[in-house]
Amino acid sequence: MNLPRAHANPLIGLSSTLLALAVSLLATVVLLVVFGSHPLSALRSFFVGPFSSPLAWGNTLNQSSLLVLTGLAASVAFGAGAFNLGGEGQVYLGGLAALAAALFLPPVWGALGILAALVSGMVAGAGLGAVSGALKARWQADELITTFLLSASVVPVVDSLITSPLFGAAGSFLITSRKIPQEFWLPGLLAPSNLHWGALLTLPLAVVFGVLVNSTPWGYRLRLLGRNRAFAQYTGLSMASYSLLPLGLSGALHGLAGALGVLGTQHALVQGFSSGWGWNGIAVALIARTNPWAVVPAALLFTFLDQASRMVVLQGQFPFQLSALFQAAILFFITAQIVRRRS
Amino acid sequence: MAPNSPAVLASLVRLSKTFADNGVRAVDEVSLELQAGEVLALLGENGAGKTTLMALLAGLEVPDSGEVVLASGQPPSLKAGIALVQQHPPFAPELTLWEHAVLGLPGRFPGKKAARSLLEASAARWGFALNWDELCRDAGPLALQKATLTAFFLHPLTILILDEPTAALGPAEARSLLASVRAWVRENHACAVFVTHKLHESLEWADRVAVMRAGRLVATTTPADSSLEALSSLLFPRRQQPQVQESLPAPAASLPPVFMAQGTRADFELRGGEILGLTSLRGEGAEELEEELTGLADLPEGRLFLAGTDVTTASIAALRRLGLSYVPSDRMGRGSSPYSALASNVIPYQVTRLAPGGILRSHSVRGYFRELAKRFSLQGEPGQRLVTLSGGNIQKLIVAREMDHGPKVLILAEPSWGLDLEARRELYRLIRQAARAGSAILILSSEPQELLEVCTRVGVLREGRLQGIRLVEHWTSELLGRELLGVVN
Amino acid sequence: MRSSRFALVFALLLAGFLTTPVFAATIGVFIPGALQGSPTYELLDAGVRKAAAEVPGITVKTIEGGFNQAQWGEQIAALVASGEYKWIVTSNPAMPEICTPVAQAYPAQRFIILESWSKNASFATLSYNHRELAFLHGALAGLLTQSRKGAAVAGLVAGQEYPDMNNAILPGFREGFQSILPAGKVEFRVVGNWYDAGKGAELAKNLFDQNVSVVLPIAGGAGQGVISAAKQAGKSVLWYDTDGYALEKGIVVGSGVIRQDTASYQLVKKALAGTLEYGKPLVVGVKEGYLDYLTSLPAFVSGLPAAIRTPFEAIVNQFRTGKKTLAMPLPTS
Repeated sequence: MNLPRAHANPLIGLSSTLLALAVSLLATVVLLVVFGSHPLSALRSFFVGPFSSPLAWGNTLNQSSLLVLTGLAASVAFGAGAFNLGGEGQVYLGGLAALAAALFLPPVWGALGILAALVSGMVAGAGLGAVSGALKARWQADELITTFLLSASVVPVVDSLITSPLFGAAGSFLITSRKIPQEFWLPGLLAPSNLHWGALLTLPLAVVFGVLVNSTPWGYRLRLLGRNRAFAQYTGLSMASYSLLPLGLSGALHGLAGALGVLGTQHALVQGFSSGWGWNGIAVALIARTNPWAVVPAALLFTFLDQASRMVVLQGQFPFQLSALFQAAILFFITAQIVRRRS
Repeated sequence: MAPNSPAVLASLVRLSKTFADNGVRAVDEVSLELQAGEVLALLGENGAGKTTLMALLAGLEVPDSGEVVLASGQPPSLKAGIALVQQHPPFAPELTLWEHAVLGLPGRFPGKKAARSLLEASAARWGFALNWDELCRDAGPLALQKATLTAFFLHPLTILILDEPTAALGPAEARSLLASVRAWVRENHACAVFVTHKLHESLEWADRVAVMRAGRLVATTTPADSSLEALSSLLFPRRQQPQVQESLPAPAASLPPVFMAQGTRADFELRGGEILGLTSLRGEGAEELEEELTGLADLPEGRLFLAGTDVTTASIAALRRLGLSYVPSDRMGRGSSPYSALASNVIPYQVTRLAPGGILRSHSVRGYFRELAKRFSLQGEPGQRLVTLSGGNIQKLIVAREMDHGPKVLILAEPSWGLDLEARRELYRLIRQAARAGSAILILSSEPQELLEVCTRVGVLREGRLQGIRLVEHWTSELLGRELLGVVN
Repeated sequence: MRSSRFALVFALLLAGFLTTPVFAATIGVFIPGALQGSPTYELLDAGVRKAAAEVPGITVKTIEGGFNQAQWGEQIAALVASGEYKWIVTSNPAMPEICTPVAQAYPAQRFIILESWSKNASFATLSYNHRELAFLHGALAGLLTQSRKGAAVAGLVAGQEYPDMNNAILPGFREGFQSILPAGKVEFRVVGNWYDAGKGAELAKNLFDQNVSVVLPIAGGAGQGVISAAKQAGKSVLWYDTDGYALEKGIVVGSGVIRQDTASYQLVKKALAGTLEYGKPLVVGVKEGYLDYLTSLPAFVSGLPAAIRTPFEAIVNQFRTGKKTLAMPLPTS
């Protein structure tokens, strides 16, 4: 698979991405105008909706911070030449690990307990990613397949555990676990939106990764691995540890996203709460061309487009499948290399 | 000659092309006519613009100004009968050679049987015997070149362009290919252009010779009106003194060998200051040896010692720590990261040093690059992508990187493949310099002539085994040729 | 000048864009799932629109929420936050749970939630006596199984487990079945979602292979799969709360009905008239006329022999007249 590579002239790379975004935006606007019964109010819902109230703002910020995390996770893996398609399962498993920690640690632990839960999430996600890494190192198993299959098999397992006596909530009509003790709740912001303090963690994390990947020897080696694996091996990089590392790290970031989702928003593990976070993270990584610095604006942009289309659907003029259609159109245009590379 | 066939098949009219990446004017107002029935040799050193000019002729690049006018009036393309066989033909790794060859043929896609018979017939006239079921990624550049050439002949062609067609061929195969090209040209009143830097080839096979330098066409002449010296001075106007081979002192035999293979199929002992050259015909074992000596493949038998340590099963990182440097034959696939910047390509062993406090400073990286560039006369800016450099300059960069920290052992595999005269001389100078500084140097090359020029000792590999290493003074071209072919007295 | 004309057009568009009045809809119907193929929700929507049509100036907007339960809360919050809807009408036992935090944040918002039970002062809820309806299905299943001399086992395939299912429907079904076959058992299977027909077929086939004669699916879109499995096995299916005879003639032999449209119509009519009581959860059963069994439809009459129909209609009538009632287990809060 050819990942979009950063062009030698960054302006051409940037204009190619912007052009793709502009075209997809145009396509959605056309859809809205042609198929909506009230085009102007549909357009208003689209462009203004995600910022129209604290609720909308909060949800937009929350979602973009989660996408920053999963976008970073995908970037780290792809930038090192490892195709992590298991984001969904890694996020979900991370959520479960955080839930377990939050439900079984004594509530008196307070902030330490929150930390422990977040770490458990990261460890669980890292473990899942590292399994694929180990399979790759030992048997050259294609991680494209192993990450995806492992993740797909983890999801139903977690689903069944949610309502099991161990985690389940008696008397709920939803498929959800019971709520975690209040001491472990991440305090909310901009209520009644989904935003919470944990979401603010992701921006500094993006900065850390930006520096790590672009300005350290370790980051240099990781990027070299993604550019030309044979060359990286030739310079002496240990293929065993560098098969494990990108996938483990990617999994850890995914797991952290899941943990934050559980601790911050629902304060429980609701079935399917993280559905789409992994795949959207990949979309964000593609928009950002796997550069951590570009992940934040890419996540914001993607979230805006997603929330905007959801606003329009909620406004009642379109069936709910349309928001998925919008997202697909955006992704389609982004991954097509529109500006011809001048070699 | 048919009464109505045109005398001029194509006219290149004041073509110019500049690449945005580095602002270099690759082709500068070049005008040239291609006659029917002629073989044209296009000479020039690396970076002279030959490849770009041919890409413009074949319609693969669009000129910034000027035009390519064909006798048929069509725009230049394969459909118009112009085929360019590149030195490294592009390919899809998962396809087999026959699938690669029939891709893009007009009309219905032929089934495997039909395709194979078409291809085998076409290949037979060129004297090629190819394994058509081999996957492209396993086939190697030579097989790909042959397959691509065979494939082009399934189209009606008027102009055939060959970019360094004999670079990867042995002398006999090269003659055979060029003879077939000439025969084809004569029979069909077509035209063939072959790009080369082998001056003797151009004198022997071409009807006309065109010389390019720095993007301009500086001369067109015929072999009758020219000579090796004349061509050489057209290519390199400054006076090139014939290189006097300064003989390097042979190291004392009492010194311990710094690189040694024992009990293998190719045992040798190498000491600091020596340049050992090993050569073989294609497929006789040099490729495997390259991987075995550099930690990329396991030694099937025997042991390897580096600086006194047994490194038979050592990792690549361990080998490098012990002082091994290696310039691989596969420059783009293994020796570099083609889409990364030049600076990124030279720093892999320096990153820790260039990152005090853990942060890689871009000005240190650039500074290191400039310093390296000065010492080794490298071209290009640190931020430029490697693919924008010519083949010769890429190799210089790789060699510079590997020689930089004065390695104990330096292994070079096919180091001058695709390099022009000037670049080769520069390379040999660097190698001798490194030997004088104490490195032990091992060159694996399929050009015996080159080894005679550079090395202190030369050995021959045949059927995977080393047949005997002798001091270079004890070899002649004939002896070497006989040893390679297995004709022993 | 071209540029000034362009500027004028642009300014007009902008003005129109900015001054378009917020759409004056007053009732929002939130569908936790999809409208298409979901009779319960289609009936809900129909009832609301009928009531709204009777009063001038009332408009209805229907919003589909998709199948991801975790997103419903966010969507409800967005609807309420827009301030457009005086009432949010929805239907699903999980909705009070989901709407509670939203109601807390927006105390002025009113919710009409069918198929649910809550004392929250912002909600007007109505729940159906599923135990009675399930009992009727169980009784019919018992009569059918008895006549076919199959194994004394009936099947119940549910979309998911939830309190009403575990506390009311399953026991009610079992009670009805055992009222005919005292030694009878009920096999309970869960699909895990409300749309996977393939999974539904698989589970049903498994039951039919064990000689079960009748299966009752309550699994939304997955029910279609149960029907196809029954068709392949030559067995029968009961359809829970809407007319399912037409889905597969001869296979669906009995249909209960929950008159969701009547319920939503009544509630919305009261709301529009200002007489709807909030915080007072209603429970309605067969006696009140909202639940029933479709015994008078020709498909029922022609699909079953009189030997089964007559005793069954007698049982149904007992419920209709109120002679027999069953208590609906309610949540404690």
